[in-house]
Amino acid sequence: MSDIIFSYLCLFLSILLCVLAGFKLRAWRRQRGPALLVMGMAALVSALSFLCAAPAIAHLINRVSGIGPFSVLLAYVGRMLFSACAITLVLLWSPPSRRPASREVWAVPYATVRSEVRRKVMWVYGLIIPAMAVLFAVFCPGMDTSVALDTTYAHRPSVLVFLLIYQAGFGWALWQLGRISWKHAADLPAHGLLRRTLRRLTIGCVLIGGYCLSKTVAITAAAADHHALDWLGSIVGPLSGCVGCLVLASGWAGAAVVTWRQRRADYRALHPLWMTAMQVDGRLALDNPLRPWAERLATRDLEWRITRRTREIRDGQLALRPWVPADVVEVARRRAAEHDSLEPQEREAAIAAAALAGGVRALRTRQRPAQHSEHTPGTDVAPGDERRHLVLVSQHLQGPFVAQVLAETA
Amino acid sequence: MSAADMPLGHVAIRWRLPEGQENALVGLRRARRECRALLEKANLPPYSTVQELCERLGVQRGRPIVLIAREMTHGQRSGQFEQHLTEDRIYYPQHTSTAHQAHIICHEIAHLLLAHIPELDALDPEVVRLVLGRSHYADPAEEQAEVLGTLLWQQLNLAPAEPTNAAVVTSLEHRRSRHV
Repeated sequence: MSDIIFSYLCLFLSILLCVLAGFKLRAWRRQRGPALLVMGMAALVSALSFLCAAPAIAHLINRVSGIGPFSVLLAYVGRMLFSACAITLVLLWSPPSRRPASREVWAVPYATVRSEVRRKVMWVYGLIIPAMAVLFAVFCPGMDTSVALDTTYAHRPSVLVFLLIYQAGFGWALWQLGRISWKHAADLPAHGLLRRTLRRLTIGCVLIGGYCLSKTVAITAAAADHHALDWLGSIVGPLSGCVGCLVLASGWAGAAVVTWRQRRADYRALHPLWMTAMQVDGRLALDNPLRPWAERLATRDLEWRITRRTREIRDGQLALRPWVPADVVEVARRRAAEHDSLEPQEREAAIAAAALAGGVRALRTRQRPAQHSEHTPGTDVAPGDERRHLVLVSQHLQGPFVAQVLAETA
Repeated sequence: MSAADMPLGHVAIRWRLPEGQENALVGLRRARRECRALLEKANLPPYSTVQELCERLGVQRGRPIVLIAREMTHGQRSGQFEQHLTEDRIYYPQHTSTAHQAHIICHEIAHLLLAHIPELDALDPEVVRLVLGRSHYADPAEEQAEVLGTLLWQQLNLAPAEPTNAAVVTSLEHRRSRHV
């Protein structure tokens, strides 16, 4: 592959992986999950590895260091560190052999994982990396850095062992990561975001594994003095690796980005309902409301903002309860039952929106209902569905269903 | 109802900040940072439910904490903490969602974690609300408890993913639990 094109590709991937590392490490600072830290570090060392692999940077490193193909050692050690992170991630993601109560599964068994990391990661890669460094020290003097190391010098035993150890360490980590991702995906419902993400990780690992396979075939052939397959190691392998890296990186970031986008959409969708709650009692807000332009541009801290918004909405709904006329709820239930097309969640949300609107109307006109609704609609939702329910209520608040119910009960 | 009229051992509580922290209305950002640091030191069960959290705190304090759902009357606070002779009680409203109930309970628990000082609540709650002025959270103790209560609520495991995928959800979706 042309050096210029490969340089640009490597630099692009390096920058992308730096951004991914920043993304994961920022999430780790907020949540302190060890897997997030491992993913951040894996992305960072991969970024450095791609940087050293870019021909333009590699020539610079070799010239400045004066040590043969030093950039190759740096790039390969970077990938060994990535492999160590990948195996650590596999250990963190592996379900426990026994099945504890579900709440305990969220607590990572640090003692068990730590000892396994020591055994399977630190010992293994703690031996591989120094072994590679020693072999490099043996073969690098006098090496021509303008030619490809893996096909030109594969006939030398020290180079061959160096390359095969590297490919084995890298390939094994990719195999384990791809396997655990596939296993988790198989347990998830079809068409879910997490299942798609995990499948993507598996595909990324397979494509990067294509790099390992292509290189191993080319190296082995070159070691036997057959150079007809050199193109596998110089073109197919690197291309497969780069594409695989893109796919893997998109998998590592994709689900979190989708989650963020959903949160932002929900935060904005909750605004009308929240404003209604503030009409009930403006003192329910913990913080001052944002200006409209700031509200539209809110992209950070969405978890906190949504949590506060749902809390304050529910507080407003609770405060409004004595004002919600029972007849409004009754009419809303009757009208909702006539809409066969509505899903149960939508139906409940529409009734809750009508109840809220009826209560606000009564509060505004200071006409306390003779009989208020005993059961507040929309309070039977499970915690995991709470936000979705309130978004639906917000969407129905200004809709035709609520207008119809209010007109009928005016 | 005055303290003298209250049945023996029943004491209604409102809160104030510990000595030396009076009028410590810091900005929300700083309050969140401080509360986050406090939570990390608090040695609470990881990803617990509200019941588990109360059990752990009850053991730590040497007094069980009992959660009681109640019908809220007009003007009454949504959550209330009471110290009785042999146990502590947290009252939460009956007619609201499970997530909201958990949030209200977390607010009351936050008062305990922040070592707020309980005081006899001899005033009519309606009068208290009017006196507080702009916001229910203008009182520093209430603001602090609401900040910590919100952080505590976010850490609960109210809507767990499937056990085998719990660790994967955190690292790929950047969320601990599906209720957040």
